[in-house]
Amino acid sequence: MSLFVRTGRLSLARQQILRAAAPASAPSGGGDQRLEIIRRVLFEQPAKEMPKLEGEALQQHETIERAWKLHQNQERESRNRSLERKFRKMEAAMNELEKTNDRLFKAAIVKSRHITFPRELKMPTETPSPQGWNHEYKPPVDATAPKSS
Amino acid sequence: MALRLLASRSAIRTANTQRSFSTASVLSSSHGLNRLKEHYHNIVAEDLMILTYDHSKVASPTLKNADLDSLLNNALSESIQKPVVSAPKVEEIRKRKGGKPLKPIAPLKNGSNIPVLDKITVHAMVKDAIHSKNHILSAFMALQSITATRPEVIIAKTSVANWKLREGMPIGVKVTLRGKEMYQFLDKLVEIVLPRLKEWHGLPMTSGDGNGNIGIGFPPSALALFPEVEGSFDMYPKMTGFDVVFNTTAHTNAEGRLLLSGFNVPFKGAKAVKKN
Repeated sequence: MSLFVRTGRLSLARQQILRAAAPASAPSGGGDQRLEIIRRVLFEQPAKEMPKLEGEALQQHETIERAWKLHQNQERESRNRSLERKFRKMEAAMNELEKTNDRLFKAAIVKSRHITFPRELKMPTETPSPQGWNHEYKPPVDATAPKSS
Repeated sequence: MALRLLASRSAIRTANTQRSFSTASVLSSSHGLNRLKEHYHNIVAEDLMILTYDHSKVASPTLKNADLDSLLNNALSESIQKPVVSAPKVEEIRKRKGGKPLKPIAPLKNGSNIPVLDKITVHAMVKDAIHSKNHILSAFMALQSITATRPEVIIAKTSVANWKLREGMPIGVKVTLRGKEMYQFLDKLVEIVLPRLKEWHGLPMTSGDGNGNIGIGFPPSALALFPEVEGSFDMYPKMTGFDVVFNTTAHTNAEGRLLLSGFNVPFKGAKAVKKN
């Protein structure tokens, strides 16, 4: 699944809060205590000092950064080119259809206005589901669904 | 455990292999992997392009969006081309009294203006901040935990006597998410929070602001469903409700809904694909 629940540790927020909490002070008004902790976590923690790079290490770092950006650029360009090519093929196909068959062309022009992707669409995950594939899946009957046409 | 291991490793490393980014947190490291973004580019974008194709609104090919085949075809074709009509500028053909903002005209379609998620805005107004500034802290901390981004405090711009609001008073918190953080937040929402909402079956099919952006409001109980807040739930003095606005580059509500449904955002009463 997603990255957040991967680690079994305490959440980062909880870690920060526990670190900032006063070690051995008697609680004086629960809300005030918590606000004090929150204030400390948000505003009084010093910013982490990033180590400065010099010379060869800096060059290495910058090269890697540039290489990554270049890679992303190339990916984006190839994606855009591919999509544009497919779009133009669609347009050419529609133009051909217009010349070929009037009835089919009119049917092809019609499009459903309020469609959505199906709810069962699965966004690919890094690892398979721990439950495996659900062979007994039945689409839920939506109690609040409007009357079907 | 993992943090301590990383710390000891970096101590052993020699000086000239110092890095200028922090490895302190595995969860926020930039490894370039972005599940929802990849899903969009691999699966959603192409389907979106096909589903939103409108033959009467096709932009003629340009050098910028170069598909050389079609450009050449256009140039070499014998038939006289109709004059290229691009979508006119809004200011030229529409006016509104009082200089009010004009509704944008959807540009003609091509392979590069497919609807995409631009940004997500998470916003919480804290009414209790009117009588005590401290109440903002809880919402500030909550939004920071949820979105992994520093929120900005919203200052009132006008005074409203009925609500005892004065100009300059901090009254809310807002986070604008783009890129990696945006996709991560949407991932959390769709996989963890939305399925756990009580008696909620999906966004209505009428949702949308007319320009392809969709908003949803959450009650305070929804805050406790986020994994970051779930663990330290009792450390927040006041749970606030918040709203989430998905800003897309879609120009119609239908396109915006189609885009969001591609990310598994549920819509109530959506028409299922007809089976023959």
